[in-house]
Amino acid sequence: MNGENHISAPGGRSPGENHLSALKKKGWLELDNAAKLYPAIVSSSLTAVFRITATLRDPVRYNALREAVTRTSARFPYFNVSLGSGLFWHFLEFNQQEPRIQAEEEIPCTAFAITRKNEPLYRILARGNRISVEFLHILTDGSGALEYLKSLLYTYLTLCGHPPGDPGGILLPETPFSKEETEDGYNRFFRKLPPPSKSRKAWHLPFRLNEKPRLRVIRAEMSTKELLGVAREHQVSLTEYLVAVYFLALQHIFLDSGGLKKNRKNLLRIQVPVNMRSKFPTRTLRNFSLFVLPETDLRLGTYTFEEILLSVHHQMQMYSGLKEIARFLSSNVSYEKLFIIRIMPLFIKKMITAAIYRGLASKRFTGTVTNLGQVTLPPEMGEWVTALEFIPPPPNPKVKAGCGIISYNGNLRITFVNITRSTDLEKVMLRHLTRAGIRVKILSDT
Amino acid sequence: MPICIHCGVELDDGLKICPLCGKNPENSAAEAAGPASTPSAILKIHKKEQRRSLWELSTILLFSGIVICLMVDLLTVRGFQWAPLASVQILLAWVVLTLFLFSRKRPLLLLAGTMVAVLAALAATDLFAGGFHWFLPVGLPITAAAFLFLSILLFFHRRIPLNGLNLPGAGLLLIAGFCMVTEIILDLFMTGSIDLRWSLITTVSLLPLALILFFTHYRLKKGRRLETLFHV
Repeated sequence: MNGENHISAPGGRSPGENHLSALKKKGWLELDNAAKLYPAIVSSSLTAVFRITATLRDPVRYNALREAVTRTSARFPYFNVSLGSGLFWHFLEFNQQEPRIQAEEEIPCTAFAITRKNEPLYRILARGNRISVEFLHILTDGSGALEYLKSLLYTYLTLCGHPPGDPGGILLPETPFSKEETEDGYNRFFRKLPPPSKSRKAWHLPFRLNEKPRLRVIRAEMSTKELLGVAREHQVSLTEYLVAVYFLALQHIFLDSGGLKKNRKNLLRIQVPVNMRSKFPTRTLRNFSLFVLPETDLRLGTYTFEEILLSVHHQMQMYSGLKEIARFLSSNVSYEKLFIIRIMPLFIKKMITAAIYRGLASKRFTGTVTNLGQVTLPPEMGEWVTALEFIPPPPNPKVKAGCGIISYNGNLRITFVNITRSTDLEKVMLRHLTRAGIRVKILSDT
Repeated sequence: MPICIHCGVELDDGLKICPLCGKNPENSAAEAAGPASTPSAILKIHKKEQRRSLWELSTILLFSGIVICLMVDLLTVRGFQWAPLASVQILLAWVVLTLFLFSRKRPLLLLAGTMVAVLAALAATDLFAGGFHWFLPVGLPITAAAFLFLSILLFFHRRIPLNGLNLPGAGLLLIAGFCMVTEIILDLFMTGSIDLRWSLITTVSLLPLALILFFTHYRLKKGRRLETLFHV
């Protein structure tokens, strides 16, 4: 925890607590740079909602969960907000509402009624021995949601009479509040830099969309050790390896669907979110991630897996470097700082944002691979929490598919979100992994 | 502690309704008795609330419009000349909007309610224009015929799925029939005898078009739906 919390301010409260009480008095928060996009584009199918699920050893105890949610939500007051509309910008309004605890439904990542008064922007779901949290991306990113879930699980297990051991870095109800938790990292670390070069539109999966509700989820589990072993053999990271496999699957589908043609977008590009907290010194629990966009230009010919791997490795290393990522951050934030954008009425801003997203932004990449990384919990908690799973937000109708990855307890789970009728992407990707000697298990919904 | 057979979570002793699913935790056939507690149920409630708010706002605006019309008419000509006609049209808009917002999922009620409202508005318009002249011989039968044809379309839509090119095909046939009925009613009102002219030309033009659409739907496209045909 940041050292500032241990120095008492006048009145016996830490600077973090003073900041929190000032925020509550103010009653609202500005949206961070990434969150500003979502109110313009969210719909009942493009929900911008993601889910992290913890599977427990025993069935969930409702009353303990209810109490744990109450205590944990009090520790994360900046999540107890709803979306408000000003004349020029949306904002987050403190609403004193706890999130709802609801029954988990078959289709994950259902939309939030964001225009509803006092509507919380995250929810807790339970079914059998699974506890899930679903967050709207306006509120936070995967790392922020994971911090919340860890805290909730710790408190829940304590209330169930299963002492979860030393919390380590888990934020507990009694952990002092830090001012950094609510800061907008994008604005804090913004400095004006030359913009990145413009990218061409990418090729997209040619499959027809599913009937509504479109989202279909396929879960696969494998050993982290086995996968890491294979990745290390090739001297790349686990994320780089999986991104390369994703590229290989895309190339396979590309060639299957007719291959190289004139006047066709022959570029594969994958959006790989990068946790900016590893690049900049902040403990913010609001959105603070950007993207690396490795690409494969198929006009140059068909690639072998080794060629893809090498290319992905170098591109990821280069574009996730501090200087390149700072340039990307600068480009995103500088738009919202333009005077003309700031004084533009909200409804016009939303129309323009939605048009840019549909016409340009969503066409710039072919797929998404989001890796939440390796999650560690105290060993005592590990006895009760048997698995973790991450479901990324439903893809847009252009991109059509994506996947989320999380590693915990020696296992890695890949969750594919797909809104098409085809499972070719999943099939080719998982077959490649099995051919590489990794044992893959497809999991059922429950 | 009992476990809800629907959600699989442990509940405290004595809980008759599962707080997650709102159902009896021990009865597999139980209907939800408690408040809706799934994300999609909240979305449905929100949509209902939005419709209610839209209706309230429209009611305020439309009834303000009626008051303004009546006041302006009263203050400018010291009586009511055009305001009652305008008020009838505004009232009709309000009734149709109300029916559309709250009976969208009951098409028969929507259709019947709209027909009654349109007939009442036409009758009032005729009355305010100087007594019943055209409502009974023309307005009433033409309106009734229009809604009858719409009901036929709805009936067939329920019996035979009209979701491909057979939908515009059936629509064209009904338009042809409606044109003929309209000309018969107008002829009887104006000349007292039936002499079909323009409606026959319309019918012979629309018939082949409808047949092409039916042929394409049932023979060429093998019943393909419009939403897949125009899938973007």
